[in-house]
Formats: sequence, structure tokens, C-alpha cells
Amino acid sequence: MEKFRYIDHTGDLGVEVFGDSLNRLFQNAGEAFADIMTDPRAIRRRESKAVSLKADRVEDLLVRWFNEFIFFFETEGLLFSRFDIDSIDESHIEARIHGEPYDENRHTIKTTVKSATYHQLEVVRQEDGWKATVIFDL
Amino acid sequence: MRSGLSRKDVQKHAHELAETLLRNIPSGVGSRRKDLKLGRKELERVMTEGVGWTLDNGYGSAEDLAHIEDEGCIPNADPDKVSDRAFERGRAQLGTLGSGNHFVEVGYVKTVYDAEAASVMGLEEGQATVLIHTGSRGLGHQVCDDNLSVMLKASKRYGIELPDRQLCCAPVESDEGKEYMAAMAAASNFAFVNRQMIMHWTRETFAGIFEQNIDDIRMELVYDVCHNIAKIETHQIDGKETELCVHRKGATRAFPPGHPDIPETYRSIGQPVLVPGDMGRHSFVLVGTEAGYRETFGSACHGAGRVLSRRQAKKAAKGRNVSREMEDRGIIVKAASRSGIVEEISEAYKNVDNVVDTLHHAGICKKVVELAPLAVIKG
Repeated sequence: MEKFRYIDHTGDLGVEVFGDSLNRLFQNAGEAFADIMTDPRAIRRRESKAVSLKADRVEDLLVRWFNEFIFFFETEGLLFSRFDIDSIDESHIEARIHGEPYDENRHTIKTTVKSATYHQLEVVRQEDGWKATVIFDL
Repeated sequence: MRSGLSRKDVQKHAHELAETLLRNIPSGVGSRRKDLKLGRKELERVMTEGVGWTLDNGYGSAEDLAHIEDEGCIPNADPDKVSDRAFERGRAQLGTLGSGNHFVEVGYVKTVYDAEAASVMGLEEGQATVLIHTGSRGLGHQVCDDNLSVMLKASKRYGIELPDRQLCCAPVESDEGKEYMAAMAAASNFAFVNRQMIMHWTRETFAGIFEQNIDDIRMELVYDVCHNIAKIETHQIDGKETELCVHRKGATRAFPPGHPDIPETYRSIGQPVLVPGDMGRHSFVLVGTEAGYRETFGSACHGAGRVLSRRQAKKAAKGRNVSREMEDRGIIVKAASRSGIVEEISEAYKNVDNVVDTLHHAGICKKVVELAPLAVIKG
């Protein structure tokens, strides 16, 4: 199954993310974000953060999930490449995410993301799993 | 900013200027200042006092104050309405350019369209100028993110039907509306200070390279105006003075001659309006007009606007040496990263000439001068 695919949006950038379960959808969303920022293969797993988020709707939970990565990048320079989700449903997520601080000698930043938006935001259950559409503000 | 230098002065040192500016002003991805990390109390002062804080701390000059929208301090800012996360994002970012379309551009006055207005602004043909484009950085973004969650709930509570959830909102006079306005004012004041500090380091850079005192180089602020903010203003609606909340998204303020909210120096000509083009094309200084005040609530676009998405721009720039192309055209571009340059190629934007001519011919603004770039730093 394809994990994610880019969609074009003038001025901004969007992704469609897929997953056969909600757990997998959020993992793939994490991987999509890493791919937007840099080459995920260059991110070593040397630091971990615990993430615990709640939201009224699964769409909003996904926006918060992305915005968590942005916050850690801006405040501590952290990039993540592995996303272990301990528990998840449509209104909460508990996870440990792993990565390392940005190092200009080893990481090339492709795009910096200011935030995930609610614009055209969608998380839908399909026959073979879940699909999410998110537009980022760059 | 205008200067006492000429196009020729700058051209001689264009490489050195771009390189030194990039070194002195943290730019690009996750840019932060290692020398300046503010504690909570100081940041609160930045957000409530705006440029007043800058002056107290030795950045910027008191003469600039009159040439900043609202004299660099939007009233009723309340840092208590700004979240801990926003504080955390903001504390190492004051005095940084950031990434995306933010820039410092050293250029010169190429054409004068309106001699009288240009002279009031102290601008003349061949004179070196500097344009600075940046804002409230991660702090402002966090204020937005935090309030989107609040507004999504508020929209539901006030029964507002949304065509798109990103457009969630609340009545301006509601608690949510008032709290947001107070947080936005705090972020705007942070942005004023950010630009003033970058202006200070730009002056220092010039003084160092031209081996002159900061004062002798006469780099004076022409005007500093916000993008993308909402303000409470009085406008005529059906012949009646009405208090409105004017949100200039993708836009900037453009007030007409005589308006009390513009600096006295500019009352006779109208408020200076800055419309930068992409890094390879020209930028324009215009002034607001009475017709624009009536038709657009005193607003104009704040740039040319993109035609290619950033991904499309990257594709179009594949295999090209964009810095070299720019250099061949006499423009030195330095950026913290390659993506900072390729996403901003000229083809990615509308031709600013057409955009500005539309403003001019529609009567929304009047062209004053055209600025051409010589050295640009990008995030």
C-alpha cells in the first residue's frame, strides 16, 4: 500500500496519507512529514519524545500530530523518522517519536513547514483503510 | 530604508554585503540567535511595548519611530493571551529572518514616477535602498494555531456555518474575538521589534563594510507596515462613519493623504505602500489614495503573488544554477539553503509590473518609485 503522495497547491503543499489502520495512518503521516522536511533516511534515532494529544475529531488530532513535529523542530531542531504509537483512537494518541537534532552537515532541509492547516482537511475511512488529506502552510 | 549611498557604492561591495548580511542576520531553517535568548519577562515587554523595547535596548533609532505603523506598538496587546508554546517558539527567534519568502534586499531607486512624493520620502534616482520582509516568526504561527482550535469551537457555539474549517471565526466583540485580537497585537509587536533588530544589524553591516559611522551612512527608515493583520478602524459605510474590523490577509494598509493615522511627514502624499516583486524583478513604493480608501478600506496587495507552487518551482529549477543566473543579471543572492533560492525563482511569481500597474490604474495606489535589486539574502 502506498504510504503517502504529494498534491500540489499554489503557495502551499499538500499530502494524501494512507493507512490500513488509524495507527498506520498516523505513522505514515509522520513519515510523510519527515519526507517533506528532509531525506528521512538521514535521520538517526538518537533522541525520543513522548507525545500525548487529544482532539474532538480525528482530523484535528492529525493537525495536532503534525504541529507537534513543527514545534519540536523549531524549538529543539528535532527531526523524526520513527513513530511508535502506543495507543490511538479518533480522539487521542499516545506515542513515542524518535529522531535527532538537525545537523547541517548531514541533513538537507527540503521544505520548512509553518503549520498544518484545516483547509480542505479530510480524514476518511475507506474500504481498505484510512485516507487523509492535509494542506500545509509553508 | 533609504541611504546616503549610491547604486555604484553598493555594486562594488554586493558580494561582501550579501555574505555579511547572511552572517549577521540568522536566516533560514530553524534560524535562532545563539547570542540573544530572551526570558519570559523580556518577551512580555517586547509584546506589550513593541519598538519602545527595541529603543531601550539599543537597537534602532528614535527617529524611526514616527515612520512605523502605529509607532511600532499596537495597543491592547496582552501577552497573557499568548501560550507557553508561542513563548517557547519566539524566545530564540527575535532578530531572525526565517525562511520561505522572507528576505533582506539591497537595491537602488531605478525609476522615479512621482517626483514630489519621492522627494517627501527622501528617495531619488540611483540611491541605494534596503527592503526587509519578515514578521512574527514561529510565535505568530503558534498564536494562530492555538486560536484556530478556539475558533473552531467558537464557530460551532455561535452557529457560524463555515465554507472551510480554516476560516473558523468568532464575533469580534465576543470573549474569543477580544482575546485573539489581544494575542495578535502581541505577535504584531514582536514582529515590529524583529524588523527593527534586523534593520539595526543591517545598518551595522553597512557601517562595517563602508567603514563609516552608523549615523554617517544615513540609513533611515522610510516606512514599516504590517502584512496580514486585522485592525479596528473607522470607515464610511453608506455615508455613515462605521467602526470595522479590517483584516488585510495577503494585503497591507494603504491610507490616503491627510489620514490622521499616517506619519505627519507623509500626510501630504499618502501612506507609503511597499510591494516587493520576486528576487529577480523589481519592487515598488507606492502611496495610498482617497479612491483606494473608499474602495478597499485603504488596503493593497503586499506582493506579486505566486503562480507556481513551491514544488512546481523546484521542478522548474531542477538542474539549474539559480544563483549563477541571478548573478548574470547583476543580482547577488545568498541563502541559508538551496531550497531557499529555488522556491523563489522569478517564474514562480506573477510579474510585479502587471500587479502594480493594476493597483495604479485602478486608482487604489499611486506609483512613486521602482526599486531594482542588487544583493538579496533569503531564508
